[in-house]
Amino acid sequence: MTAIVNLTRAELRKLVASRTFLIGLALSVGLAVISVAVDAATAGKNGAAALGTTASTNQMLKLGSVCCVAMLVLGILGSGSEYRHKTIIPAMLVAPRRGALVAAKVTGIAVAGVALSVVTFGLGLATAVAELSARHLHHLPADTATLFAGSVIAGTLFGVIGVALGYITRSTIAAIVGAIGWVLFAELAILHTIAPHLAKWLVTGAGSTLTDPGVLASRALTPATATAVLCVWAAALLATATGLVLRRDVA
Amino acid sequence: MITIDHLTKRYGTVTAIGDLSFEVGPGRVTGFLGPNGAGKTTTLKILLGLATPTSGIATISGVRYRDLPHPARTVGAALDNDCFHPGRTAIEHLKTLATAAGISRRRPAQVLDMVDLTGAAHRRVGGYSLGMRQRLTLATALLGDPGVLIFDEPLNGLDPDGIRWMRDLLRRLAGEGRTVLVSSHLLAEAAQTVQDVVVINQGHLAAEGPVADLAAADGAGTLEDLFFDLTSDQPDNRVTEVHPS
Repeated sequence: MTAIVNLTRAELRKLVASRTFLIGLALSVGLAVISVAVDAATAGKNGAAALGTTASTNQMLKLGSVCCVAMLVLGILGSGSEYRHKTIIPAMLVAPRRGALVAAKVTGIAVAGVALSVVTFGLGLATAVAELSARHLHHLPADTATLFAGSVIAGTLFGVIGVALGYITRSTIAAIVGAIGWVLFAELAILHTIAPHLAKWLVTGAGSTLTDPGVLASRALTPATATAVLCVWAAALLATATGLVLRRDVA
Repeated sequence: MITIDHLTKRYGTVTAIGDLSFEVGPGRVTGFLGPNGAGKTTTLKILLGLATPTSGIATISGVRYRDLPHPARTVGAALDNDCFHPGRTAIEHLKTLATAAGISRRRPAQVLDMVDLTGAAHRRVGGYSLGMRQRLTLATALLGDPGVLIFDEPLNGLDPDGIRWMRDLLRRLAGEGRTVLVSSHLLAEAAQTVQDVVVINQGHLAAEGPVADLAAADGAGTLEDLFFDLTSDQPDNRVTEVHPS
């Protein structure tokens, strides 16, 4: 148990010491705040819903997708760059029981996922509230708290999925290209077209239920079911990754 | 004590190591020599739990690396001089590993001092020269103050000052009673550093024992002569074992 705690502390230390996480956090927060500001500025124009309506506020609160993308990339970089920079060698020399190493990496990225998602959604929401208050609007949709929690859960689980992809591919580029390819081509272009009833059970489908107010309101899946679906995807990918990490020789 | 016992590693139809056995004892610098592709690095990776043998076993004090209760405090290894995140500083690299291994917070600064890198402790490793990286690799190996030290080609890329410094350090570490195993293909340098050698060729043991005794038994004048006698593709190559008298 002490070994896992030490390894997790080391993983958190890596996150804090590297510029990657801080840059990722800054980009995530920046994108969230800018997107809310842009949505507020364009509300009521060119067919967009007027500010203060549920549709407009929902559009502003689509912040979870930013958390998911940021954490997916940070998760991939967290594990894939261990191979890219060969830091996996000293890491495995310190922790030859590789399962503990994977567990610590996942715990570290999960903590980072919660922190990044809370800060990103929190500051995005604060910006939205400020924009609405400036126009004397003081109403938020009833699902806001659910959306906040869903965004934190989805961001965290996307981080875990990223870690798994990084370990599976041992390449940051291959993992990022593979993830984008899966989302854009396998899920959105193919599966959504030929089997739309399956969409909600896929990674982005479940993620959207947790982070997109429109999808959440449609109740295609309950938030609890969407969380369970995303957990199953993360667990399956992580089990595959762990098996490979345990079995592979380190080049 | 390092023990390699009937170790075999095959990659498909290629045998990288074939039934290799030897022992390395404490208090001496042992050279692990062989031509490129002889299986030196593969052997060290199996010893350190980074690769799985097809058969046989490699142990440190009778225990497989992955079963050691405190691996970083038992064995220090430097396999590659480029195992650093270029964006991290040297002190941060070492503090991260020290945290993971449960080693004292003061130790990273101490090992940086031992390898003369204190002045560059807070510089990002991406800006380090090859020699500085080699020293940081060595500092990483020394982090847990281990009794067994394993270095893969530690002299590569070092300038003459660096080679002399490394030579003195290896001897001092062995003089403290540690087990020091050093793989190298720089024979002239190895001859001035090592006391014992294990020579492998095409994955098989060619010779092991004290350099002076092996050279005398072989009739070779130098370690270089001995090496070429043992690793040339002549049919009279044989396993030679000479134990210290």
